Amino acid sequence: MIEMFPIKRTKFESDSETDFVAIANLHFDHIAAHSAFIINHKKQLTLFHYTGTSVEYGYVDEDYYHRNTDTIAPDEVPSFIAFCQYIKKKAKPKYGYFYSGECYDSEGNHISNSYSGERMTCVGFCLNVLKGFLEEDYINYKDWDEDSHEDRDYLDRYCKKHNLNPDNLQKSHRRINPRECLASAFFNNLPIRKVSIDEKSIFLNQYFDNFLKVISDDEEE
Amino acid sequence: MLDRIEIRLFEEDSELVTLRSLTSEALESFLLTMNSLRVLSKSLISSNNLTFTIEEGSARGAVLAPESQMRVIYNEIDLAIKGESLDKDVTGNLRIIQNQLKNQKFGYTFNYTASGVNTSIHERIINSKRISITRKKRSKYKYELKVQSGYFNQLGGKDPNYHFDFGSGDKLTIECSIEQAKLINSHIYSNVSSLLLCKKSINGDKKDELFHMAILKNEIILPIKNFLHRYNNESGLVERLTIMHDFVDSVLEEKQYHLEILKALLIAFNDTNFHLSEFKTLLVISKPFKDNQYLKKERASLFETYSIMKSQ
Repeated sequence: MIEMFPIKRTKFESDSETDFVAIANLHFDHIAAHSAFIINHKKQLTLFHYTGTSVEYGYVDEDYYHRNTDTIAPDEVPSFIAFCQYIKKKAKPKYGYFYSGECYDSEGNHISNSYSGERMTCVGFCLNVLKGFLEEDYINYKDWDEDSHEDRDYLDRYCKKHNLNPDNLQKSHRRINPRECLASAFFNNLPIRKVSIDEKSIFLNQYFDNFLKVISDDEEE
Repeated sequence: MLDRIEIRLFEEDSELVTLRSLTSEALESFLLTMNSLRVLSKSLISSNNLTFTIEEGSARGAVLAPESQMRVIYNEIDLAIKGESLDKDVTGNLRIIQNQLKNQKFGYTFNYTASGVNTSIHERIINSKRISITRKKRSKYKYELKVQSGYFNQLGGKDPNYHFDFGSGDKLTIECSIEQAKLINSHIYSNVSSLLLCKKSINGDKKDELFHMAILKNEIILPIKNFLHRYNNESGLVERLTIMHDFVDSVLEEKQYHLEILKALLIAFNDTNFHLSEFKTLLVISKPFKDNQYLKKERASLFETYSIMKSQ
């Protein structure tokens, strides 16, 4: 079955009646460049995300597009909000393209046995929050390997800059992109596999190609 | 013989109606009622037990089913007319029927026939208010946890309970399960502190009912008491959950009796009267201890309650 409106434009099309948690994308030049959570509780929309320098919890200030995740029931939204606020108090992520299935524990501390510690992207942040909140793993992170990073020299450059040993980071060096993160919101059978997300990402890229083009044409007029 | 619920359209603008020659409006109205009767019936009992008929004699349509099955449908219609139905399929479809029956343009009858005896539903449905789903009644009670200390000197009964005796006939009765009674028994004739679930009547017209959750070790009485004091005084759910996060955080930081405290919380909040978010927050908080031997069983049990409540 084809869904009529698979994605909502956050500021204009959110269903304010029901509480929800959604994964959102922000676009730059029609490309998904950022991932965040959109939370609706008691008819109020909130943005929760990692900006690359800090964890922010506040107003939806930009033109996001989102998809609700069915992994969190409306009655669990208060619990999710309390968890987010806790993470904001405690977490101090550093930016880097690493994700090894880490998560935040109940105290907002980043649990990781891997050397990469609290280094992540906006996507890694979203995935970590979900992994911490849900009983099962959110995505099957091992499906993403080093090849998923488009820039092969990234690891070496990153390690040189931060004085780290690339061998230790090799295993968790993966880039899961914002579009894949949004695509994951279509699934609630956990852990979500990369094949499912790949298929949905292609659909979403086409969807946004058409949709964003129409919007920018409108705005130019 | 099968019982039946029958809708009959017999006149339109005071003219008699016949199946052989229907106006567009009459056909539309009749089909609307019949389709609603079909969907309503199908939502309640299995299609295998249902038969439908449309007959001449004005425009007559009916659903037929064995007595016990038809009784189910009739009872649901009855509830909806009284305004007490919680079933969206029933109220939605019955409202469509009601609208057609109330339309002055048409003359309808609406009957329930059980073992050959006719009961008209028509008058009741056109005289009743607009049929709508009833929201679940607001609970007359609120539930909260509290710590109660006292001299424990009596335990028994088929539905077991135990007593705290404060002297001069002043007593408190606490209900418990047989399993709990066996455990509590070892504390008899001593001062104990119990973590209780308190069922309070909101308008204060009934005495509080108390249910046993756990007996607390001396060392954790004060921290739990303080936590519950703050928790119960906060009315916002998110704010309460933040209090829970902060409390467990401080307990884990001090690393003194943290497992005992966590265990007491896992047991105390394991009751269907709490909110799904309260279960969830405790599960998130205790996730790092999922496989901890001391907490495993209590956490798994809370997870089970949470799963049942989430699927409802």
